[in-house]
Amino acid sequence: MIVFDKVTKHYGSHKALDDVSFSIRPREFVILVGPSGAGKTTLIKLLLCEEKPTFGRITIDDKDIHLLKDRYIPYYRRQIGVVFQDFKLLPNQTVAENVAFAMEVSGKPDNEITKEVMKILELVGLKDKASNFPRELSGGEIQRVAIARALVFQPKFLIADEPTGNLDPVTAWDITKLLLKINSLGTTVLLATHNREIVDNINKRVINMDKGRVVRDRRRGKYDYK
Amino acid sequence: MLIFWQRIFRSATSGFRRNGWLSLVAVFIMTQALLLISIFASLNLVIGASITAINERIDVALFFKETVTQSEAMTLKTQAEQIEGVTQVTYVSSQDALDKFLADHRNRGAILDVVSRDENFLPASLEIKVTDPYLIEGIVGQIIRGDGGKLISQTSLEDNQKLIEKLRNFGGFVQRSSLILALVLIIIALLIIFNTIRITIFTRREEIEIMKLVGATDWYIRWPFIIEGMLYGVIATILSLVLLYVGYLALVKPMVDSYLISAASSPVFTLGFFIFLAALQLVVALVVGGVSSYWATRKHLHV
Repeated sequence: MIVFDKVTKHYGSHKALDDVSFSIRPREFVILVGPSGAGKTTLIKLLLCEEKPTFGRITIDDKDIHLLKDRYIPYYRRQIGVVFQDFKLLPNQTVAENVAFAMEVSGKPDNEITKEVMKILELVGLKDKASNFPRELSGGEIQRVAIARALVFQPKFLIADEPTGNLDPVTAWDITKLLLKINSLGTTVLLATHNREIVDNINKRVINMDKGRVVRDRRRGKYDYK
Repeated sequence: MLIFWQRIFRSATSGFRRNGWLSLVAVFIMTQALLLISIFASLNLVIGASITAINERIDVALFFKETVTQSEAMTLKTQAEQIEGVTQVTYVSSQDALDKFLADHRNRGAILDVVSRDENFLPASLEIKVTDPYLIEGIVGQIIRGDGGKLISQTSLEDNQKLIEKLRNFGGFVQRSSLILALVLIIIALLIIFNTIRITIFTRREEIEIMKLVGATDWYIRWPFIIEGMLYGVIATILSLVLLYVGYLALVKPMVDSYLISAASSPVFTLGFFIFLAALQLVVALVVGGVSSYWATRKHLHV
């Protein structure tokens, strides 16, 4: 259970988040929508401990994540899968190495990593591209590598920050379907997006944000912006 | 723990390979900086040796009165040898002096006509060599105040005073300025290396950010960069040593052998000096490579 409790974040005099409260239950699929500057990215940064909230607290299973000491943050991050709009793959490492890196970091043995990486690449449909470099792949393929990397720890919680922002509509749908599949396998998913078509068609919980505030939070939501 | 270091090393070497051009440029720049340091260290050595050679040539002659017997002269020689700072005392008899004079002027008929072997007008003398040209006056004074006063008519000190003064000043100046220059150059070399490594790491700052976001600890990210920096250092050291040796064989050795400091008592470029240079370069390269990488990654690790 992830709980945002009256979270406010200031950047100087600018309020990026203003008294935001909501909670996400295990296995839920939650879509975060809102125009640029609504506070989606700030919210995700807070969840990843990249930033600390100015007021309020964020708890995961009743633990306040911002009370973590700096040196424990890496271990905390390994429990959360993240997918970014700009993919954030290591350009000098192959697909398999990119996925393996997240596991290597945690000190897992090589044979276990190889097995796990192949399994996860199969899940996202990239088994035959394992030894390609990111620059040799299409946008959709790159995003699937990023999703594979996010999943390799079998996290209970996956955050996707505008994963379809740089993709064409067809590929965007592929990625969304992949996220739904991952959710159906038991992972909680938080999807931040601009994509009206996707939001309106998958019938999931939607949290609408605007100017740093939560303006609507509905079980079967719509995009609701012009 | 073993697996940690295996991965660190693998990541460092693959980082080096896959950033091919950048690594190569960094290595070359480091090589140049190391060469700068080495050439300067060598130059200092040559200057030091030259100054020693010049100092060895500075000596003083004490001319005996005509009445002095050889045994009196030999007693004074023994006394002079006891004085601190004196390295060598040579007795030059009147006859030796004449022989040397004739040998030096054998091409000048006119002089030889004037000088006849029977009427030797040249006095016997003691030639004294000292460890440090600054001591000459004191030593001469000490001899004259003692038994020497009665025996010695004249010293070469009066004639050579100006020359010795000049040589001493020049030697001191060269040594001081080469030390300052060496310091400045070493600082420049260090800054060049540091900046080069900073740039290579700057180009990979996104990589560092990504590593952090997938949960790598700071040291897991940092070590490969530090080892890569040290790897630059090792390769640069080897390159610069090879270049130095080639340069030594081609340029310096013939010069040293022929004239420059042939008067120095010991050979200047010994094996020991080369080993010292190699060790110096390696230590500088490893420390600077590693420390620069550490500092350069620090900045990008605050995610």
